[in-house]
Amino acid sequence: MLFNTLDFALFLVLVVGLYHLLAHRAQNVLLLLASYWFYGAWDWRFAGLLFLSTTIDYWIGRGLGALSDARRRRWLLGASVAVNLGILGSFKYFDFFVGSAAALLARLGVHAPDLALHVVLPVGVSFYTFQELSYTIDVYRGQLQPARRFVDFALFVSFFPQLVAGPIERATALLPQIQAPRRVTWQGLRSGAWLILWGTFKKVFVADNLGNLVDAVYARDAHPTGPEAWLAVYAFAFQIYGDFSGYSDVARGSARLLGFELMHNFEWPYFATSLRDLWRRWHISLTTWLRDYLYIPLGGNRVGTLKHYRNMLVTMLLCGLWHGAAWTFVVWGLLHAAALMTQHALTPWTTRVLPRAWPWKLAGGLLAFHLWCLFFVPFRAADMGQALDLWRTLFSDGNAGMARAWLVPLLVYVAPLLLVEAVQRWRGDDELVLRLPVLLRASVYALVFAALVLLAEDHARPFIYFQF
Amino acid sequence: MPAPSSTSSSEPRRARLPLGGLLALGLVLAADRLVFAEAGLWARIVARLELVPKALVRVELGIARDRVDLARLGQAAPGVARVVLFGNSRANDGFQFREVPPQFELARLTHAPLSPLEFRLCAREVAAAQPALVVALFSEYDTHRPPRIVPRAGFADLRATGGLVLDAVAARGGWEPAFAFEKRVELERLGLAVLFNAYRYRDVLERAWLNDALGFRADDAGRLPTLVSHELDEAPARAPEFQALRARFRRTLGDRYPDATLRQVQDIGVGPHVAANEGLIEAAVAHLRARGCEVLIVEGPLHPLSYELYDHATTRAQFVEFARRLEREHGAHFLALEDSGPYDEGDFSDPLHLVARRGRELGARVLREAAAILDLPAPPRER
Repeated sequence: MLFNTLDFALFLVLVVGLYHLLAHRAQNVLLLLASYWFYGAWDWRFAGLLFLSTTIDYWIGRGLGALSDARRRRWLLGASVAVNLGILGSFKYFDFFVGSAAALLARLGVHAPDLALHVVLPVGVSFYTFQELSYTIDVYRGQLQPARRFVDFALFVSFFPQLVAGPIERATALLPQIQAPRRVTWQGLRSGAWLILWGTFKKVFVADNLGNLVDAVYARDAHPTGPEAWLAVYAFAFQIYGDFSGYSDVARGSARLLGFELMHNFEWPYFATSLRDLWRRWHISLTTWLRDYLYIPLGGNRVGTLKHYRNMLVTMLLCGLWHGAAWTFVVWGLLHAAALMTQHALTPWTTRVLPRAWPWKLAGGLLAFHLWCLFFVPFRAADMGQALDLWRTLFSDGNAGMARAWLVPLLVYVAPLLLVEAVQRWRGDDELVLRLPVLLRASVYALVFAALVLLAEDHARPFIYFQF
Repeated sequence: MPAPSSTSSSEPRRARLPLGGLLALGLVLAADRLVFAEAGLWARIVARLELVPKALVRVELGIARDRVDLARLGQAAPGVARVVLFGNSRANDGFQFREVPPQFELARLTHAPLSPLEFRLCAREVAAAQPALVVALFSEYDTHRPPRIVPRAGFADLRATGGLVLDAVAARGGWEPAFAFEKRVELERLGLAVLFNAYRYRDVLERAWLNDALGFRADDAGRLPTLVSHELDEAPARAPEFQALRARFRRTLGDRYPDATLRQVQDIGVGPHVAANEGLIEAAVAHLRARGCEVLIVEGPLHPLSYELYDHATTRAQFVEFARRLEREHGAHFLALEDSGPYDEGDFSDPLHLVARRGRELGARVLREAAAILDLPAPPRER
């Protein structure tokens, strides 16, 4: 079930309506059933997988809470890591590694049998396995008491607003909200409804419309000119932002209608002043997860320079692989690692030499944004061959082609997003609209709604991050 | 993590009305009603669309002309027999007239992608124009292809749409539960289209004004930016014997038609959609007959080779049986292929459409049938 369908709107209205009639524990049962219905709408078989991994981690969590022997606790944590990474590995990475090994052997003249599983990737598996891992690790570290009621834990894993594409919630933040009675406030309902409307706008108006342009350039048989390719590269940066941050907004908004508060996943990333700053503002729930459960345990920046760079490299490489089991994502991660290491190496010099005035910040922001866009080429490309072709085209073919026809739509779809975000960033308030005078507020709602009615795509496109 | 939403049990009660949201909804609804209530709107849209390259607005121009034609029919002089012609592009090519006899005033609702769904949705508005006769061109091509429930071409009839959705939910009127569930997203969109004309007719508005207002221009391939996804939505025709059949088509047709037309023919088949399509046509016929309007169902022909792309014998027999039932139970009239044929390969411009000459012959045949039904002097035969 996609957030950008009337199906979901009806589902949400029904769930929210019933929810407000029930007491706390019954609310949790309702949300659990609704979440499994929501997830099962894709494929019921994968709901079984979700249930299985939930059950295993629930009992591991209980075991970790009950045991005091350090060695046995380590074994239990190891079992949780093995189960979660095993699920992820089997469904997401097995075919990639087996295929890559077979290709390597073939180059050496050895014919390997086809061992690939050819299984469909369950929707949201990368998100919920990471969420479950954070739970068992936090319980192991003593930062969290294990969930006592199975229903509560199962709801933490499967909570439908963020089940299939995040934010990847920490148990320390979400579980207490599940375990204690929630208070749905008028302000929560208002802001929730606005987040749903704005998130839908970002997805349907910005991302899906730009998707047409991007698809035309990244099509297998497309031969774009340089300006066309540049427009598509810019368009994809905004498409993926609109798509993913739109999803996160609808998730947060839907949760608020139920009295939950989910974490911010984006903080105006395209107003960042450097690549590192951009990463601090992008997919925050994943980057902080990687920071807390990978980068810092590896030593973070409190080690020697070489080890610090190794930690950055490993973290970004795994960040790339998390997005997809393909060499294009590996390259994407490595490019970011290289750029972040370079920025880190140059920082002492730049802080000494360059003034801290706004033109330099602007230049830094523009440089970061362009690197970000260029690094997205392999991320979006079907394979490295296409990515290399497109990179070459960007700097070689100057023929305008369709670029003139596409420039205006690109601006039309991107400008409202940038305008609203610029004001939000300036005032440091992402719900500024709710504080506008009523007439102005109604006009903003009406404009957003009219844009959806008049300029939305005919068909609901799936969210890009569903494939991860 | 941001602070949880603050609030307020202490907020004053009057603050608990979503004023901004209600005002916005009111604004949008009022603007929608205001714009679409304007009498000359559709004529102005037609004038604007005629300035756009025809290939880009074929469907939209048809939708706009429907409304203009119906409005004109409603103002026809007394004593003239008002006739509405209905059907998709096959009807457009099939109902051709060298000149319309003075005893008739015609309104044409004949363009792609009109289907049984639009027939049901337009019935009330058509009846309001008080036609003496509605002539609809249908065949198994219309009843035996899965319905495309796209709201854009239809009429904004709240009662018909509501009835249709309720039929689907309650598994009535030919809707099987599983089929209705499969079509739920389209049905939901249809419901939304009833509330907002701007949503239903957004393609028309885009082509007529919005693209210009936003500065969107057709690209080198003649496509508008908003059209890209529609254009990419093409799939090659199926069937292993396709190439051999295509070679046979080429003998008389050359390569003038897109493969998509063959794909449409290949979609003809038996399934739960047949009852749903028949239910839509039957409901429209019942509505028109209840308001004293005669209905003539004209069976539309396909290129003889097209019949090899699907189970013609079964599907045609079912369609004829359905049309005969409309005759028996609702007092409709039926002009079968045998009454207007025969048709050979030279009568078609592509796998679906008649050539102009054959379209005029069919048009003349339809007018003679209409005159007989309405007790009017028979028009002269087409030469």
